[in-house]
Amino acid sequence: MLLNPFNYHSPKTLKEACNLLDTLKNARILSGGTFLVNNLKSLKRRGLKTPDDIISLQKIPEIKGIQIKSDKIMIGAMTTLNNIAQDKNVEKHYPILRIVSENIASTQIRNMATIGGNVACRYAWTEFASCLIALEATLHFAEKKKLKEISAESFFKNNAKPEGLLTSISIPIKKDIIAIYKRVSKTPGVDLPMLTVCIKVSLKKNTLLDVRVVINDGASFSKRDVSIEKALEGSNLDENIEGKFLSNLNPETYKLDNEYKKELLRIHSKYAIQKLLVQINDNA
Amino acid sequence: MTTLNINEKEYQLDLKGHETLLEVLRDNLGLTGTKTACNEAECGACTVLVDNNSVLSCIILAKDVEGCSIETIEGLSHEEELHPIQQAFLDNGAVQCGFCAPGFILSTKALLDKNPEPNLEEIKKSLDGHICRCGGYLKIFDAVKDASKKLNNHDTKK
Ligand SMILES: Cc1cc2nc3c(=O)[nH]c(=O)nc-3n(C[C@@H](O)[C@@H](O)[C@H](O)COP(=O)(O)OP(=O)(O)OC[C@H]3O[C@@H](n4cnc5c(N)ncnc54)[C@H](O)[C@@H]3O)c2cc1C
Ligand code: FES
Ligand code: FES
Repeated sequence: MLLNPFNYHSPKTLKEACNLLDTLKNARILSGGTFLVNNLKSLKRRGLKTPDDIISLQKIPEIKGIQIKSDKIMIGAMTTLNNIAQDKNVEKHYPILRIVSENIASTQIRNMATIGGNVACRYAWTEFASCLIALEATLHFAEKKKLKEISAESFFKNNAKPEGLLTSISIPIKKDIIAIYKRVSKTPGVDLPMLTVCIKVSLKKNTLLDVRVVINDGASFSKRDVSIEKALEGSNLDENIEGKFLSNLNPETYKLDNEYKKELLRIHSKYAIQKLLVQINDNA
Repeated sequence: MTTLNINEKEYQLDLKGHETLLEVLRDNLGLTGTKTACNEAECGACTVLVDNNSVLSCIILAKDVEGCSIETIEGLSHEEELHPIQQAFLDNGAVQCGFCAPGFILSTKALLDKNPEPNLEEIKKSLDGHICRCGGYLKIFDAVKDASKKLNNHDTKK
């Protein structure tokens, strides 16, 4: 057997899942399983303790799928990466979510892996974090007796204490937003990212507003680069945006342990800001 | 009891919950066309279709796919007659040792069901989760293009 035995729970409603989570203190939540099942195998192989209870979210329809609710796009935690990549509302409002999804892992994994698992696992390098921070997303959690929400930005901080079950992610729909995502990996095929750069701006009368620049160095949580954001905020397109971006980028503020990685960040930041400017041009 | 619908047939199984779909297919049901290799979601040898989507049976709990329609390589041929995709893999020399073939063929089926005439980029993207240790990728891509032709002819003949 690949896995040690556990009690398998398959709640049909969110309420049932929250009750189980409340009573079974050491239970693990299972979404797409692309991390968790591998993790359970590795614990077993190394002779370490494995959980007694697994709560699978596969049979809870209410936390799957994408909807538009007033001025927000709501993505259920159990929505798979390929569902996101193929969704019409995503394409209309935030194609960047498709771009992030379709570059993660392989086709089979994208058919299984969920956005909820990608976020809730809180690995430093998993990829939705950056664009959710850039797009000012909110994460919605449920526990037996309460509902909670937290901004993506606060969730991906070292001192954040994630609790409960992630049910959905909401992103405000705003006009005139342009967002790009640059991903760097060692090989062009299926490979984990070494670093990523995400830039979002809202463009009003040729001026960049609400700028968010989120960088992931592969070793720590995605974080906003406030110096670059400040430098770009309010800039006019006639100015040297690329120059402003690059002169305010300081690779020393990231966990990049050698010169090669620092240079990678410089080069790919340049590509990223150029890509943004091309996109602004294309949209005009 | 857990009921699994595999290749349009229902199987009743006494499962505890920790069994992967891969183990159930191979060890409980003797459906050994689905291969086991890395066991870590890296190689694609264990690929099956669940509700027409390609997925990795080595990281799926069998109980999680109760109520879904599961398709394995055994479900493709009709008695002695190979499925056009299988035939295309043979005709194009896309099968060397053959270990990766069931997975590649099922992912090809999922692709062609949704996109009957994919271009090379789309073929590569859809097969990105498969490794062929014999290195026969070019012939595999040829086979997919040929399968697309075979299936489209088949449909127009009908
Ligand atoms: C070969 C391979 C390549 C990969 N490549 C990439 C890549 O390039 N980029 C990338 O970002 N990721 C990559 N991944 C990681 C990929 O598994 C995750 O991105 C995936 O999205 C996790 O989702 P899941 O639904 O499978 O999570 P699961 O494995 O089901 O769960 C992950 C963790 O989150 C917890 N959890 C899950 N859902 C919830 C919830 N709703 N509420 C609270 N807790 C929850 C689980 O308990 C578990 O600890 C790769 C994985 C593999 C195996
Ligand atoms: S055996 Fe499942 S991916 Fe390799
Ligand atoms: S034919 Fe041998 S692994 Fe692909």
